[in-house]
Amino acid sequence: MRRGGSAQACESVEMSTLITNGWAGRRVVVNLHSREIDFEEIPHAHLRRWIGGRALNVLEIRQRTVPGLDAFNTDSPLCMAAGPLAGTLAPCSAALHLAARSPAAYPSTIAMAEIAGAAGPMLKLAGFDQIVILGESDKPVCLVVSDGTVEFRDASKYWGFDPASAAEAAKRESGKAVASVLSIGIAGENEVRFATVTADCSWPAEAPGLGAVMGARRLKAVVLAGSGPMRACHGPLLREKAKDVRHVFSRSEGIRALSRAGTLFPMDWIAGSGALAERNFNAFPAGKPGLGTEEYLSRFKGLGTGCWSCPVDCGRFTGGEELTSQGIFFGGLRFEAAMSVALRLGLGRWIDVLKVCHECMKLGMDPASFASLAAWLTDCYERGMIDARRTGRVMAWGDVESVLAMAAATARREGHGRFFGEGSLREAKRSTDSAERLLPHVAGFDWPALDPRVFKGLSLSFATAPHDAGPLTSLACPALPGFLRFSPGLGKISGRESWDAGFAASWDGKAGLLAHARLLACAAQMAGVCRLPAEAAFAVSARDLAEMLYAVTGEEFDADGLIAAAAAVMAAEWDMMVKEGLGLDVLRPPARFFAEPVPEGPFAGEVLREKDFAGARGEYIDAVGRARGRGGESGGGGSPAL
Amino acid sequence: MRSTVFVNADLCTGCKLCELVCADAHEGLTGPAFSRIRVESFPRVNAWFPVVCAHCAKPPCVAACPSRARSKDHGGLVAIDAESCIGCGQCVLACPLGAASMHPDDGFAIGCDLCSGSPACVEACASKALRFVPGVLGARGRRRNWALKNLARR
Repeated sequence: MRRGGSAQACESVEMSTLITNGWAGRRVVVNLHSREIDFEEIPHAHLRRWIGGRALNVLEIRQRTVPGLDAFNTDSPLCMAAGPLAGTLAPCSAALHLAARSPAAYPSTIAMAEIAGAAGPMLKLAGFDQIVILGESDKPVCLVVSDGTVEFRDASKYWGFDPASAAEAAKRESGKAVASVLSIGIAGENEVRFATVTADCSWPAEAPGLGAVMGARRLKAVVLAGSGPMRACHGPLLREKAKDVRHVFSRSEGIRALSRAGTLFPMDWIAGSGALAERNFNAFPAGKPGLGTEEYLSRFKGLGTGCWSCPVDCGRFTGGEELTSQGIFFGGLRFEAAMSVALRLGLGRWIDVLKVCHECMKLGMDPASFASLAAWLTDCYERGMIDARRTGRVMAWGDVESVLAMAAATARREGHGRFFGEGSLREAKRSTDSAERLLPHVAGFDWPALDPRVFKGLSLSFATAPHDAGPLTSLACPALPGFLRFSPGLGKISGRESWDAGFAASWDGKAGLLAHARLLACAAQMAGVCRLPAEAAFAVSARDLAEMLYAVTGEEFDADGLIAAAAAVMAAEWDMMVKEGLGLDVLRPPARFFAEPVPEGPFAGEVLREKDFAGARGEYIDAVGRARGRGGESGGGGSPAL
Repeated sequence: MRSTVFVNADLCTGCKLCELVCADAHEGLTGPAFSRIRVESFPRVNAWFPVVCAHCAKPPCVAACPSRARSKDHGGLVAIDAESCIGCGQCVLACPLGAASMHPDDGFAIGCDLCSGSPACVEACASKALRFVPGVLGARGRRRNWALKNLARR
């Protein structure tokens, strides 16, 4: 790759006036320590083969790091990449893919997230496919990427701000009227291992830890401002295809459900399913009618908002009189955060759940990971395994004030918070083996809210790729009762005509379903569109993606080739994990779910069995392997050899 | 009877699809600066406000234009004669809505032309924040909304 000039403080590259095939054809490599800015051309053949977004990030991290490298090492890159569809008329083409080595994982492996808002298009219209950030600044800094220029701005004035205030300050100081801002909060500044990056004031990246990576580099914010222009290679074709996909969206029950309630739409089923496991998976209430979707919408509004070019509007702003009277109005609440805080901590009222989620997001840390930590501490405290000298306070289930105080201490690393900020697994490792065993996690990635003994697909999802098993995957894979109505295509894939609660607890078809969902999501993230419509509602197919890619880039893509490329990228991620020592013996659901059956309720007796799990995992690996083999050597963007 | 694109900002979700399709329809490309409709964003408070030419009955941009490139046609549309435009930007300064803008490449005035009666932005708006209605009907709709709001208070 050709290297451009490097310079101090500010550098620009001569922009071609128009991006005509979806790719800007260049990445910028920024060193925060030396203040060097390198512009690198990305060869067209490389882009043609790996498309963009997630694939570019995975390849870059693989190339620039060695096994065992600490997540906070300044040689470890923080990568941001957009796909060729970003910034075009393609529906949901807002996605920016973020990746780095994970500070939350143990040992550190890859962490990745999709950023909502308009960050992907802004990066592309600024003239870049990818940003690679290295080094550590000696003072708080903001990176401004705008129309072929990259510059460093002092961020000292808003160091210590919450993510939303920091984003506003960074945007104001950059002088960019139209921009997307990624920022971190206090938790990120203090290198809390589950700190998040927040986009455009409200939208947290679902992977915990990326905020800590930014904080460790004293990078408070990244301002992306692009004005383009960009032209699709086959404009009329893209116009037609985009219209077709939007039409499919308008008819999809799954998309309608997402539009109505955001990712919180399955809460009603879960609250009434009898498959709830509360208080660190120790209590099993019959139902939780007060925590349903309708309750949320009627009392707390759940006002919809959309990302760039997205007709789904699944983003949610939470308000309502009860909260706004307390000065709380916030965006970015998602299914996984709400479920984890409600169930893991045993909170029975929406208002308490929302207060905890809001506090965590204001501090810039992942509510789900924090809930996992707090639930584990409370569990151990109640069992007498640890005492108040270790927790800093008396711990009790449902004590919201205590949880809020603990969140603040954790983000600021004050008192006992200096340990809590290390994340649940590192904290658990300071305890006895029996206490550590109570923590549900896979290689340091905190287990989500749903019980893997009931939701078998979820257990497979987390065990096979914990870095990629965020809230979106968990929507499709638990096979919630009634979900088939929202995603009719899944019936075909899973070979079932109806989906009932019993299906959720079975292994039937889960491996194929998960492989299909995950490959599709990966292909979407490579192309530069949001994974949600593809993965949770199955409203975008690989063929749709291939056709839109052809319309934008002018290059021939086919569905099989695209899926094969996605499979190769997933294999590269797997390979990185194996090289860190995360083999099949480590990547598995927590041991307690194999040993302790669900004691009561409609799913009493359900437990993970070694043989069933190993069989499903084998099926999943085979399914991904078969997909990889279908692409051929040159067709459709795929490559069997990475 | 004058037609305009009516904006109900309460329904806008900030997806900016209107900007995308507008730039595509007029220029065959994407890029917010090329759009005739612009969405002002206040993301922290979930507020979005599409701004588009209102085709005013007494348009200040027409009065301000020194080269008479902007004019009010018989159908009520504020039209721009690209040949006559000198790119002085007086229309941008005069428009109280901020709906007038200049082409980022050539520097001449651009503005909403209602896509010859079928605005692409309205067609693409999934949340129905944008509506294309004749002026009289628009006023009637607003009257009715106003009446319903007041009736609801009883």
